[in-house]
Amino acid sequence: MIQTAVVGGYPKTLHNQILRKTLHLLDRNPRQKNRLESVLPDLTRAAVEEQLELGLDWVSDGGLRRQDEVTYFCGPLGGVRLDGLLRYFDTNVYFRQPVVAQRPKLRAPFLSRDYQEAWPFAGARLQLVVTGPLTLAALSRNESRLSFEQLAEAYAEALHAELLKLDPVVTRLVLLEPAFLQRPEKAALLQKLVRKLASLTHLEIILYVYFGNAAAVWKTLWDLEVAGVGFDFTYTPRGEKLLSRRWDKKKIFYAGLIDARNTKLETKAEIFPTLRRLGRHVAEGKLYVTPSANLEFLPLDRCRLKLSNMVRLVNQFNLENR
Amino acid sequence: MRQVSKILPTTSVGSFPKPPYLVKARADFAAGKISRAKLTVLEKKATRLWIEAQEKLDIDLLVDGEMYRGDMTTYFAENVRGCEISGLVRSYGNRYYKKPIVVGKLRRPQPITVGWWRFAQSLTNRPVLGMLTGPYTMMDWSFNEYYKNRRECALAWAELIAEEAHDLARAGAQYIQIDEPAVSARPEEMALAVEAMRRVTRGLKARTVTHICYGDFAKIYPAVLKMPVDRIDLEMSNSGFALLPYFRRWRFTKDIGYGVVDVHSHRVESKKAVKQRIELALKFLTPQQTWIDPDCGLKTRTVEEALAKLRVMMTAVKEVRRTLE
Repeated sequence: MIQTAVVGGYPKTLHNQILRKTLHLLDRNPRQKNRLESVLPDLTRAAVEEQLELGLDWVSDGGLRRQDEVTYFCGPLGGVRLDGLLRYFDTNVYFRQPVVAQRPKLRAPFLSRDYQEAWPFAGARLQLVVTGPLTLAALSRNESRLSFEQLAEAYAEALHAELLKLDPVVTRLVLLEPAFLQRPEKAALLQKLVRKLASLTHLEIILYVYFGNAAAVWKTLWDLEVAGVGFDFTYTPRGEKLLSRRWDKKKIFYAGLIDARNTKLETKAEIFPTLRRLGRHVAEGKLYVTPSANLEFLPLDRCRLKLSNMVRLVNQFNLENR
Repeated sequence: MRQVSKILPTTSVGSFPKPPYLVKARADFAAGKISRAKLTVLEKKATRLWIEAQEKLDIDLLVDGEMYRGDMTTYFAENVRGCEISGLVRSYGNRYYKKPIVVGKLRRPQPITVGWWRFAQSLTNRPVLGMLTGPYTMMDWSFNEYYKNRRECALAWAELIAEEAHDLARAGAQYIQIDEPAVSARPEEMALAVEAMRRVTRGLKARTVTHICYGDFAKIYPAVLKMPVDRIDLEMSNSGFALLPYFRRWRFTKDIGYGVVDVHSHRVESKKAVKQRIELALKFLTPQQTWIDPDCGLKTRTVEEALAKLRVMMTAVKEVRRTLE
């Protein structure tokens, strides 16, 4: 049976844009930080419950605390400051670029809080979604004496220290490494970084890539010591052919078939043939259909429609192919 | 019409912050509490305020400040057929916008910006920029539920933006800006962006500008010099002037809009810092080709911050001009 999951955050405009309004107040008056902490737990609950109500099998905490997929992970680290705005890959979303002056070091863990707020509502179906160390290094401006490899390893150590502090009930980690598609020469480094994180044996790590063609790096992805991999099919047309070349049936596959950057709803004719072909290679219970990227690229109402349509299509496929 | 300065001419990129009374009025209009006519009165009042402010600061080429626009893509999408408007999508931090959804064949029923351009130009004898969003950006920053692919969608936008540009030129606009911030996102689509822009500027009787910002410009340089425009306006301060060395390797062959103040920072730069930025530019560019302006539109700043940034920009540029003269 095919299942469904997400690979990132949820639109932040829940509950009549209360988060947006609170952040606006905070910008004008930084002493209002308590107000932010008072709204976030309820919004996290809402994001989790919506994903579950829409029928998703594996959910995220919604990422409501995250300014973006880079700043949130780099900002709290010692040795790093945040600088000017930079475009996030080929999107029209921007992030504040981390500037590294010294080896980044975790000052105090912060991911546990996100997980603890979401866990009571999602339980065992909650996955933690984080940006990987190679991507953080690639998107940082390095003004330290560290090499690129050393910087990526420092980010990996910080993430490892974070994950050690997580409650052992966290069982699945989705590690986002979109920058690897632009830096395929860093394959050996990625393997080393993943090996470090995979030493946390209680965690199932799914390495997911997007905004680029996965064909060029498929051999590396397939070979990684992780529980699963996945990629964005909107940039990797006929991506299922990659699995016909090589695939480990023990692994989980996240198929990013649902375009998270367009409102147009996918149809049975578009999705089912791919699912049939994937089903020939991925073992029972190991295939997941996901959005191609973070859901924040969609407005809230369209995000709900997209997820609902995704679940409907997968349920229909499962029924027809029992 | 007053001529622009021959060395280090000055301008702005497009938007200014809306005064608090206009922000309230827009919210009231959206809630049905005031009429469109009442809103227009206040939009004109705010436009007048910004035209006067730019004149007082002695800026060469003015902008109308976009008091009547919400967002650079939504505004055009609201005024064409074939588009719906989505709910809010986040751009960065706590900034959101409503994204167009292309649901049918794109058509322009009537001129969109000409009336406002005429109004703004009637308030001053300095030239006022016609301000459009370019076809590649309209395509990239919209959802597409109608056209077969990105190219078809971009060229459809190009046809109607070309109509608008020619109407602006016929109305008397001497300078027309066609913003393309999305261009740096996909270097492999530069040829499409150039083709789409060519459809807009072909035969246009005006000086043309395109504005590109907040991307990895190095990836599209020098290919971007093929854009069929007279000036390329760039965000420089935010990116730490990292592009300048590229201009030594490949000469910048057009006029350049050189951003000397960061529009996404509350901090107002010092005169000394802005002068240093201009002097740095002149190591790589000529004073005749270099237009001094903010990095991008100023609408995310308060009115006071925007005026302070423009003031320091003008003070600095005048001092540098004196040393050159």
